[in-house]
Amino acid sequence: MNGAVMSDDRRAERRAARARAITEAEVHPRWADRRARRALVGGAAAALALPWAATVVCWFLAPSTTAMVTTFVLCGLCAAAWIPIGSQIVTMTRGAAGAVPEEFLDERQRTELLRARTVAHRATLTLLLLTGLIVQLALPHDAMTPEVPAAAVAVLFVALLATVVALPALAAGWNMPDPPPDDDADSGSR
Amino acid sequence: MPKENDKERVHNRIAVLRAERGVSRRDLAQALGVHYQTVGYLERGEYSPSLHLALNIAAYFEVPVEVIFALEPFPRLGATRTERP
Repeated sequence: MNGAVMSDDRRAERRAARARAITEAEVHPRWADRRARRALVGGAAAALALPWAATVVCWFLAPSTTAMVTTFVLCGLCAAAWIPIGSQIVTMTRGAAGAVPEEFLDERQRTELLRARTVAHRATLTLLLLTGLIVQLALPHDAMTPEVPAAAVAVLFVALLATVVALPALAAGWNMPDPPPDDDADSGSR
Repeated sequence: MPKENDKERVHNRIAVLRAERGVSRRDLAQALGVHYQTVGYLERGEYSPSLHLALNIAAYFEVPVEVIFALEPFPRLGATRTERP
């Protein structure tokens, strides 16, 4: 019983330390500039476009070795690009991208998180509608039961999932205001 | 975060009080239980605090809340002083 309480305490401490590590992390001065932040978000969006490109390739070429190799290469490139870009976005938004549990955020950070989620929700709805429309238009209409490569459906699911998961971070990074300078002339005013 | 509409803007004197008392942003933020950047956004007028946070700030500086927050811009220091000949 006592051990369980201690383990819970330790887990809570670890969560708090992880949250602090993100919200108090040193942010590179380059991300204080809105244009640089938006360029980074653009890079993330370009990386997320790769699985969508793989979906198109699979739709027209699967099943084939070309489709398989292209899909693996594009999805691998997406993951390789997303890891450094995503971690930069999480660091510069300091929790507003949803990487920190809400209980560790203050009221302003929670407002930013809510705003990012609202934008992401709207973008998700648009994305779902567009995807549905494009799939409907792309389906062959000469058969009662049109056939679509299973690989295309699977990769489409992966592309949708990755995009929807990443959208709050992209929205937070895109809309983030310029941060105030770290303790400006405080040292001088003391 | 977009700048708030002027109609909804709440002006504050946190920076003045903080400088006068020699309190750093981090110290103030720690006392209020907020991120230190939140104090920066408050000072720049890019974030309006909740009533709870506003009352906490007033309690920290031991002044009535209307001394720190107002719907109209605060007059510049010395603006109302009569000019000497």
